[in-house]
Amino acid sequence: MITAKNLKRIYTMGLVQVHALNGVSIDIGTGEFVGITGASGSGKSTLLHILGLLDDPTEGEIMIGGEDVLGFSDSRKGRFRLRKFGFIFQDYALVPELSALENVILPAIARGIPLPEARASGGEYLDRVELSARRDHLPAELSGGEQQRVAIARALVNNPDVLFADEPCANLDSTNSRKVLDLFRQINEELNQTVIMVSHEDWHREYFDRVIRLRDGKIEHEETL
Amino acid sequence: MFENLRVSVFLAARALQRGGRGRVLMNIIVIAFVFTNMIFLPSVISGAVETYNVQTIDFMTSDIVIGPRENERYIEDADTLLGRVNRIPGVVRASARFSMPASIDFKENSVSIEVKAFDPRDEVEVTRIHEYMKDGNYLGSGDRDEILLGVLVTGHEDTSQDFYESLGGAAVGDVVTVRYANGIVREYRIKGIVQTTSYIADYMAFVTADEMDAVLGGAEPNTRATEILIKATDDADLHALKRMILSFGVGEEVKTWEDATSDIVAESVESFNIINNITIIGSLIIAVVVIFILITIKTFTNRKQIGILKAIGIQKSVIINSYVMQVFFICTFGIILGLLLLEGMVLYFTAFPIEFPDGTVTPIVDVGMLIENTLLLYLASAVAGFIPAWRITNEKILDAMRGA
Repeated sequence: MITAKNLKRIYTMGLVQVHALNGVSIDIGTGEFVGITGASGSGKSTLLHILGLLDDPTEGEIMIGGEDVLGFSDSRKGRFRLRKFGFIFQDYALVPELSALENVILPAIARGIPLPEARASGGEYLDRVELSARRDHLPAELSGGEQQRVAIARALVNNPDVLFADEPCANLDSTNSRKVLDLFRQINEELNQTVIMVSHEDWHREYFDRVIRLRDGKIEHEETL
Repeated sequence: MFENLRVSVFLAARALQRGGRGRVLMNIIVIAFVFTNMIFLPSVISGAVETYNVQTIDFMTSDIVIGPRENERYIEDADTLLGRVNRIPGVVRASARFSMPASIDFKENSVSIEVKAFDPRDEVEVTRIHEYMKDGNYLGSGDRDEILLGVLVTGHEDTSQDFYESLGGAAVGDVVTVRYANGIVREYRIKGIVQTTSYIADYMAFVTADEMDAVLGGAEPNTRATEILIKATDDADLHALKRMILSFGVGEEVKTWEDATSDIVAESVESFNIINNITIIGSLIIAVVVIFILITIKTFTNRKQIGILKAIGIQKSVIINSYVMQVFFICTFGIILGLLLLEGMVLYFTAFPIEFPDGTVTPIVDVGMLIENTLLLYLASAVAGFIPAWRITNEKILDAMRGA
């Protein structure tokens, strides 16, 4: 599904060069639930962003579904993300001017799904994350856990091949975190969607099929659970 | 393409609906004032030009004016020419005028001016001076020893209030002394004072053609004229009528009122157009700056949101278009509000016209000018909205999302 070879990412900060990734190679198969862990600054978010085509590596190659995605133009990468990926960010990243349902259906209507169909589909996903009753609320009117569940529904609405989650539970209490992770597990099992999740919590391991632990921009340890 | 447009409309509509209505309203009001500013001054200038044109026809040239042949001072045998012109279809009436330089004295005041002579029976058919009597009466056909003066000629008793040299407040019934350029000196009773609001017409002096015959002193009545004014029927095409007059064998110089005043009017209109253009450019700059600042602040505040949209796969063009659409919305409602304001101002100044030295002016809003300025405002706004949106959407996704 995803093959990355020798990924390097060097940031230049003034006169200093920071090696965020220092030659990471990984293979992730369809339907895997992969956890990327590591200490702060280990490069886990950088790896997720690069695999999710949100950032470009300084060096290396990535093949997704047999396509060399690093050669794509920005516009094509955007279309690829829209059709193949779903994203869940630490701070939910919802559009504040859109209601819960509108946030969810935005990727669908951008794909050209007719509005009634998108609304129906969005409603189903909101139902699945148990937020049907809050569909017309703006993000500011929702709790952190609710916002994150809206973000999950948005990430799922286009039925993506890969779900990228960047510390999705960082701002949630343990109850809400567990709800979110249960949802990921459920999606992963029922829809056979690949889930790649960055986490720094040890107890999240129980949800992963495989854990990749990074340290100083390199894979320190890889473990199938 | 259509899908992208649909998403842009969706995002723009929600941003306008939920992204600070007060700010949107404020921007609509700014655009409304900018639009009003773009249209109002040109409409006043159009009104002033129109007033000048009407005054030219009513008091100075009538519809068509015949002047002497090239290199000649007078139209010879004006009576025959008048008879010929009066028979031409489309001509209501022609009036011959004869002008002679003179000085008019009253008490210690003196005014140097051309005294114009005409036959009042003809003149009332071709100009409207007789309708603007401030005091006294208009000249009658047989009047001798009487003169008609413009209100700026008679002036005020306190001459410091007069813009031109005046007779220091001469009134109807007063006797003035006129010293003609041919050496003849006559005393006239002021029969009437004319006040037209045209400063040119109000600085004129008139006597009857019979009186001028006596001044010229020939054995035969004067058959010369310095100009012949022609009133055309309301539906006449003046250029066609001019051609017809020429085709009737008139060898003198024939001009429509526009031709006759073209130099003065063209220069005035040219100057007014420069002022108009400066006003329009100034207004457009204000519009561009306001919209640029508005969209810059909005896009800068929404950097993170723009980053999110790009991250989930929304195309840059969709995001940019959503901002340009918001600008178009603001512009459209700003222009509508501006039109209402403008309509209110035009109605007010139609009821209470603006007092200009040249007369009262009512703003004239030209549809062509409205369309042109509307399109210019849209174009300027689109550019001003596009640039900041384009700049922010070109940022790297992660930088935008971090709001760094």
